[in-house]
Amino acid sequence: LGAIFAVLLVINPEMPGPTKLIDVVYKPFVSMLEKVAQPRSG
Amino acid sequence: MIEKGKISAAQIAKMLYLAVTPTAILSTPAVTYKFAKQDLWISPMWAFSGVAAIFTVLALQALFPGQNFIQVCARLLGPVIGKIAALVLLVYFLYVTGVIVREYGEFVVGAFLLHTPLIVVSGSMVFVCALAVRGGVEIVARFADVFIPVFALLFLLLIIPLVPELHILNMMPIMGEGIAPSLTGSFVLQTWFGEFVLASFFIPLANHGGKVKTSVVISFVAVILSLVASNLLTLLLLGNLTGSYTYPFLIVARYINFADFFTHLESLFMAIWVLGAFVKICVFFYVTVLSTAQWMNIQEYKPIVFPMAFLLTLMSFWVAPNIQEMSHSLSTSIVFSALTVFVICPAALLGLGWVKKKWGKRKTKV
Repeated sequence: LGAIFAVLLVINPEMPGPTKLIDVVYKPFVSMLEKVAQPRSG
Repeated sequence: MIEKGKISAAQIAKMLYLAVTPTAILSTPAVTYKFAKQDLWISPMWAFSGVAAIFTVLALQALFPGQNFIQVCARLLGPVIGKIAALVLLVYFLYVTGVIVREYGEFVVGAFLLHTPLIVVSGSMVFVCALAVRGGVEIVARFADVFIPVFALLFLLLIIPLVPELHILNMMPIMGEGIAPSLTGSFVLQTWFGEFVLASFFIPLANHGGKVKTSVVISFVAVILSLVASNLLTLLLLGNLTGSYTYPFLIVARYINFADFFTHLESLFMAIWVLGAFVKICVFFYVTVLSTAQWMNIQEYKPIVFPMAFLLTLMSFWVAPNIQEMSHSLSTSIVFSALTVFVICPAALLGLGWVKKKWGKRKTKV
């Protein structure tokens, strides 16, 4: 598994990482959160 | 049993404390401040995910004594679904460990070793952690034993000199807009508190099961108090500027100055950070390696430590293209994913365990 990852990353260093996958999976929740919780001003 | 080493309840508490606190002190105040403002110091008290994680772990231990999260998964969900669920969990543990290594590397390179390549900083840390993990859980626990007094001493050395400089008015008005800002601010902290689920992997290794519950709870309270103290210190010293820095606590450490002689104490903070990050990475890496070995049904986990270390170094680079994207995800999507894996999944397993237990009892009655 490690070797496959290494080869893939050497071929394509810009390959989307796991954080991107998590971002996509939880996108609805994140946008909901951003609507509900606005940073406080002042 | 793959792991033959035994550790004490106190060592479990120390490992958990060091697995949560160092990165929380560093990364969370800036994000928490955006939402909580002067109620920043109250936010760590809303540690709901920690309460849920600890309750679930202890209840699962009562249902399946001596079994960790991965083993419970296989037992409750069957050989196929259980293996798939366990694979998802262990890949997530590897991912989280990668995030921690990346955070460590980015901090050290960004704040101290400006000209050192990230791979050298991250790679050397992973190598040292791999050596410790290969030594077994007892070695990791002894590191926690040794480092916790040093961590506490350095933490106090940072706090005490700053006491005369603190401006109490920076925390006023307390809860001026009610409870909501501090609650919203606590959202990002839930990832860190959820990490208490790791207790599931250490409780089966305890030599005195009776004291474990108390130790885990003490560790949890100590984490909350440390975060309240560090957030309060940051707020009282920096005030409105808290949200402007990526690492506010580092700025606090840089602020210390005794007669223009005793200065640049950020080196102390660096020491705290390296010690804490070392134990944290060791704990997470140990859990990842142990889970992988159990998932693969192999008798020894030591042969897979170095290959996993290689994978971990790779993962630490792959997790995010840059620190900005990672920081953004850390305060948004990663919190949700951590809540899913650290709180919801164990709670679902516990629910299933309870149902199966009741169902089993009914069947035997009939």
